[in-house]
Amino acid sequence: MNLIIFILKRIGTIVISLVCIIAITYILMWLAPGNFFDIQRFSTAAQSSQLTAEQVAILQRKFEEKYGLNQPLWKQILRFTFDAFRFKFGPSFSNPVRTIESMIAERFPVSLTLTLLSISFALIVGIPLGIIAALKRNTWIDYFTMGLSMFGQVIPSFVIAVFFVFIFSVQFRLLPTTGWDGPRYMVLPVLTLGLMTMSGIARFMRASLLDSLRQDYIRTAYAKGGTDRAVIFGHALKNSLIPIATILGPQIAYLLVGAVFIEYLFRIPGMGQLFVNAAGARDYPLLVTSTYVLSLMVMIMNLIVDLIYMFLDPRNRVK
Amino acid sequence: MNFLKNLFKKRDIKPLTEEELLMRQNYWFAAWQRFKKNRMAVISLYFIILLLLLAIFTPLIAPYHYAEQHYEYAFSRPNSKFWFGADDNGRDLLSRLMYASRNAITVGLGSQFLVLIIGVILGSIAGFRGGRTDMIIMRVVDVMLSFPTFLFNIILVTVLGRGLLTIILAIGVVNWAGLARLVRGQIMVLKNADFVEAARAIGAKDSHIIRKYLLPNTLGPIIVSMAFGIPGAIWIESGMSFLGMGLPPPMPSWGDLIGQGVAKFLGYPHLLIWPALSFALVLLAFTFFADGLQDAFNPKSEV
Repeated sequence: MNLIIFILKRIGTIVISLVCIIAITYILMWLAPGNFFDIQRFSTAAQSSQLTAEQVAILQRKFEEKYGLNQPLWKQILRFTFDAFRFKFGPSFSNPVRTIESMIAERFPVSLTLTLLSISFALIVGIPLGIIAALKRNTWIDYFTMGLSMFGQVIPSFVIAVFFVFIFSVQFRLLPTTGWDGPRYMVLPVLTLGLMTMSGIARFMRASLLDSLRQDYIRTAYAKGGTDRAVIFGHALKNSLIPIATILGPQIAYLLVGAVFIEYLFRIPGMGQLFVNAAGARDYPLLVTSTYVLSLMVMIMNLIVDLIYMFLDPRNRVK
Repeated sequence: MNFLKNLFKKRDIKPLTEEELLMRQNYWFAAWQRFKKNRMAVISLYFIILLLLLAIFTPLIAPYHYAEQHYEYAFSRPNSKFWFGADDNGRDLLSRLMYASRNAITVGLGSQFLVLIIGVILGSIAGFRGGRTDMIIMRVVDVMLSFPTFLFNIILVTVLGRGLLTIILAIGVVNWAGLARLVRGQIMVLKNADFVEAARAIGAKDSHIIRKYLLPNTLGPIIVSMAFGIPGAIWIESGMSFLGMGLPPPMPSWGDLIGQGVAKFLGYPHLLIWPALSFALVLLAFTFFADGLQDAFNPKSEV
């Protein structure tokens, strides 16, 4: 019962935050000087066919009517919010023929695959690295892995990606440089995108395990005659794995930001690329929608992580 | 029995050395002593001081202006005239790198200043008032921390127009959540301390208590958080430039230089290698410095 209330509360928070995000984005775009019409349509149309001022005005009015721009701001926000929760977004500015939801339907699976693969990679490699570093504390193995993860955390993914491309694609010609067309194309993006999260997890895992090893119950376990293996894997590890779930939330947000760069660099047709293109073209409906979808994605992933955390930590289960 | 004897035996207490006595007297002195022991952090500190000096005096030191074009030297490799080579427009790479680091550091410091103001004000209000105010502010903080705020950076810069000031504004306005949470936590712990109670008994106003009693005691963690924020802001600034949404050309930025370098890497590797290396070096220096500060101000955090 408690669990259901918790989930409902969280969903309520998600809805409220999404409405806030939509409203803020809309207001910002409304404040922006110069609209899409006079940036692209107006200039190209006026130059190519020498339209008169009245014809341009008619065009502009039609354009505004089509996208509901002639309505007051609050009405636009309200309408978009209702549309957003039904996943009906209508056409974008730059591509009036296609609906935005069809573009998203095409790109969302790509982004989801990229993100989930990167998280899995980060967890599968990061956790063992952290454990090894903690167990071999203050040896060269520790320094090496921690130094490496420091680099992975500090140096932006787009810099690392460039060097990976150079090594694997240009020098050894093992992997393709750009595109998204099967497992071979996924290796480099997943590797570079997951690297930062992996480094964060490895560093946190090391600290967490060292902290667990200093607890009283570990001493008790050793006093009862437990072997190293039994104590570390049976007692310390279990408890030090749980806090990993708490840093996974912010890491997911970082990961999605990283995905924007990775998709740009590797020309992957995902949500991040859609967002960047929309921002570049000042395509406001597309910009709001992709922000909305990306935020929704982060928030749902966060909710899932929190639920996993609740199930993992016995203290939460009792309540 | 021996076991019990050991348990109750008095530990022999060594007298404190002179240095240790000093360390106990002064918080800042103690922090500095701990900081000095971290060799990487000290090296980074010197490096950062050098960078700051370079950034301040860039217009005087840089061999060329960042937009000065020498077409006859386009794509030239590092030589005596252009130490780091020249780019596709014959612009000196070294000068462009120097201006890029100047811009990056301006963005880093400027945006952190903004973060400091917003974060400290909201954090201390939330921590001090508690109740409903606290709940509302913390909800906003929660959303901002779990939200990819970089998207908002891009939207803000798209909307406000590209420029140094708007980038500083965009980064500052969006990234204060972490600091606000930190300040709030510190103040919640401190606000019930005896010395605060004493101040209140004398009749000090809330704002006075926050400014004179609470904030000075949270200065350490605030400094650490800002030190981590600077490389973060530099990262964001160059990230935006990399996507072609940062500083307007011909103003150089690391992200833009790296992005240009990627396109011409195969023919002219020096156009990528120098920007990427220097960028990595600067980010590492700032992070090592912040790491050192963290250990210095919070000795328990050494794991």
